[in-house]
Amino acid sequence: MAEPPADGAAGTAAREPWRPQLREVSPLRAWWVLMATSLRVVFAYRSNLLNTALGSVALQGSQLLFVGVLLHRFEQVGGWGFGEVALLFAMRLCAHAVCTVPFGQHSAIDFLINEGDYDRLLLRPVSPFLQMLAWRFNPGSLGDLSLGVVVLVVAARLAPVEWTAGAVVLLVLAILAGGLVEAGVQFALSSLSFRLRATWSLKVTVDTTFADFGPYPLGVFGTVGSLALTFVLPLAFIAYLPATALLGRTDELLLPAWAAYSSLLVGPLVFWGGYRAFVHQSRHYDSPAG
Amino acid sequence: MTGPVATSTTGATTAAPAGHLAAQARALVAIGRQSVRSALAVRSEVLVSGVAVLVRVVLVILVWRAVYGSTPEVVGVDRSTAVAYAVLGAVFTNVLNPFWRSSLEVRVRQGRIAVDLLRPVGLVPQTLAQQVGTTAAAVPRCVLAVLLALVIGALQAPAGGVLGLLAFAVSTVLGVAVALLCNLVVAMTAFWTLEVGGALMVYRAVAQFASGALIPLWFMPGWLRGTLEWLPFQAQVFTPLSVYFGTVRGWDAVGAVAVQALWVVLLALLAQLVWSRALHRVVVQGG
Repeated sequence: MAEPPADGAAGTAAREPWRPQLREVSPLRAWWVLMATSLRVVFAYRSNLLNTALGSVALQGSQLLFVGVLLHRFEQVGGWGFGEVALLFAMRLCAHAVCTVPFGQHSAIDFLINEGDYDRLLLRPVSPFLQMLAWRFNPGSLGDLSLGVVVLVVAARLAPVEWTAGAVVLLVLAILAGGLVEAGVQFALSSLSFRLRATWSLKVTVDTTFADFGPYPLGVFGTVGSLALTFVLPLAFIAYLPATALLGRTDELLLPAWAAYSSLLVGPLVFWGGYRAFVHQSRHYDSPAG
Repeated sequence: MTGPVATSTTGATTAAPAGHLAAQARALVAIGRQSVRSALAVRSEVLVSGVAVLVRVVLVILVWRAVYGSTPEVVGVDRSTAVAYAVLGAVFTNVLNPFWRSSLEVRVRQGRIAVDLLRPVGLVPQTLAQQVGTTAAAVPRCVLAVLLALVIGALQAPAGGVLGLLAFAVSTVLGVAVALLCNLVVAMTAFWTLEVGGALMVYRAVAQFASGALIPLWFMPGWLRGTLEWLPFQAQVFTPLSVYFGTVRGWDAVGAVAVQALWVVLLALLAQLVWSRALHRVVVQGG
């Protein structure tokens, strides 16, 4: 940082008012600094971290248990057996963790706006969107991630897939893209908070619909249901479409076979769209402080 | 700080004359009404919650129809019963296991609990009245969901005619009471931990599965079903639905309802015990 010039220094520079020199910080670096602080806060309260992570594990685990009991009794759902459904479940949950670990703080938006905290975000020289994402780290997301990875490792052995290098790359990219789809949808819903003030129910509804109906092959929902869960609520892109590619089941799609790979492109697009919607709607912010 | 407050609240509930009791009842009704109003205050939330339960009902119908496929019967349960059970399970869980029910933990964390403790009505009745209000606010959307299922032929009238309907109503009321008391006990752990988000999530997940709201106990392996029958969760959803579908009838139904009533008494006693301990643990934050 520059020293304030001493009084009486020679030259015209001495008469100019002193300003602190702000270093330009890249958005990514700013996000990481804020996020690291949030993480430190979370790790300072160990028991709360463990509690909340366990809560998430229980929440996702109850669906796993449900699907397990269902398949134990019926052996298959929509023509998919245990290993196939397990892989679909694991891909969905890992994608969910890709959404919640770095971007889960979209859920704080109602609170930030209604309690007036968004005003504080506007005062700082970092994008309010990035500040929102780093507002408070949700320890529950670590529960999503741990359970997701464990189930994925087990499911990868159970599923009838030959794990070539190509298949593994597709799996990883599909999970990342699926997380981006979910994050993009939640950003878009968050953007409505600037007008509606209350989007909590809407976001929870979408979140639980993804969680509770994600582990089924889309065929079980019929033609109308499948199309709705592809183009209205893009559940299909989160895990189902790439899973059909991995499992060699693209012939059951209502769409052409290449659509199984489309999530790799749709993910970043939905993510970008959700971000733009947020930035655009944030112009309608009306501080509760007046 | 907590000493004098404790005496005034417990004193008010134990040694109250009849007129005072009536006043307390009026206060509780007012609290319940207030929480109905606050649950219905934001139009967009009401609309979304309504649409959400309708969508969920349609999706579970599709899933269960697909699960059965062309199989007419699995472990003695036919397709239409399984689908109808799934509909009612989704409706019950919508009312009994919302993400947030009690504001107790928030009030403990923000220190507003001090004001609640000063009120002439005990904290447990206050919280229960609020919970009953929130539950009542969910009834209209659930009625809509049931009507939708009836219209599209996914649900039939309860077994056993008027008597069956009556038994189902009694069993449902007891099931709701069990759920509210379980929720209260979990929420009261906030007095020790100040943060019950995780505990409530675990409770919600366990209750959803163990109550038979997601999948009936009929389909579970014997050891699992045997274990769950000893827990209070099945009294929340599985018992009322078993009465609805007539899988328990006659004296068996009376016995099942009696078990629910027993759970209500046991959980009420547990809540009272936890509360009497909690009172000595109250930390009024920021006060």
